Amino acid sequence: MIGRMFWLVTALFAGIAAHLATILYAPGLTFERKLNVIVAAHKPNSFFLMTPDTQAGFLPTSTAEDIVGLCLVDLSKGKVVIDAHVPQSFWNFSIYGSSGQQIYDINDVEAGADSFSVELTKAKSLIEQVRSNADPDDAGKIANSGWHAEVPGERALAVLWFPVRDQTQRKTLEDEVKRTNCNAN
Amino acid sequence: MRLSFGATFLVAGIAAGYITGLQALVRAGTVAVPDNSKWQQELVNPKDPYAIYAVGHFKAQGALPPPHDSQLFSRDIDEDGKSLRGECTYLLSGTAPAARWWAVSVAPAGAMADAVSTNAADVIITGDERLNITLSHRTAAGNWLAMPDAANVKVTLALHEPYDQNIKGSASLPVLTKVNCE
Repeated sequence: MIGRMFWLVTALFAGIAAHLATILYAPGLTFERKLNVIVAAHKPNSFFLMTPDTQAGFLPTSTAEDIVGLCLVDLSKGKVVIDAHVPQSFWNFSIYGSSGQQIYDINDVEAGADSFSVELTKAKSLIEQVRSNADPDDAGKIANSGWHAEVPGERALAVLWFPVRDQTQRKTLEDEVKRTNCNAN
Repeated sequence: MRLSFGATFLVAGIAAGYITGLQALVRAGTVAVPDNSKWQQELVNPKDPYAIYAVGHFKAQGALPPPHDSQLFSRDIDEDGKSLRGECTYLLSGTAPAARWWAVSVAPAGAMADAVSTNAADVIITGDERLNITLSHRTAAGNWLAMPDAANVKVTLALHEPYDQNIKGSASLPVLTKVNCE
């Protein structure tokens, strides 16, 4: 009886472990595999435009007619500044954390300009937050940096999306967006 | 004998955990639109304690979740509840989507990368703000979207910055009725 109870409890925990592994790790592996194919020809902290045939499957609200730009952000060596150049139209700029959750977004109405900068830094740990509270200069630096987002973890994905109203203008719009930089400082 | 009993339980437990995980990933990230069960909204609610399931739903497809200021609706059945098929013709009709930008896509089920789409700039809206798009593998007059050559088809409607962020329900979303099949 005790032996059966042991296996029952062990099977229960094994089932919970298998469930969590399926939820937490399997989707991440699939996503990483696809992301690695997309960014294969590009270094981290470099901005590039996705091809129309890959963007619709990657960003489900986009279509092949839209323009989608990506930057795989690597914060392991410090902050990253994205200097974006966008046409005077409707656009959306989002930052996704390594978990896949959207952590920041800005659009044309909020930015009010056709070029803007976003500084990305790694989110501070609890201990670092306590330390920085004792250092008033640190808070001042963040306040003076303009658009700023803190990213949990060392990696993030910056996504710039905008629709193309007239496909004959696509090349012109792409050339304008290609001026966007994603630089590690 | 005791070992085989234990091993059986262990394998059954792992299999049950794996299968329930897969089912949860399929179901998470989609909610039925109130008053219109034919459309499903695909979203990640960051306030949801189970948001990790919804994020996993998209990542398992190799995709990012929809941005917060966009709404993604999808369906794979017509108004009669029948699966959408590539050899049939359907009419997507309703009031014009109230959003800064919108797009309608059709794709083979599970292959959104192969989607064909039309959008707010391409579609002609009638004077009474009505939207009518014919979905067919044969060319049709007016607004037309080519149905993919697939047994099961998925239709999506993406609203970017809807004017009413709470816009949900049958009054806002178009209906999809079958015209005929070949």
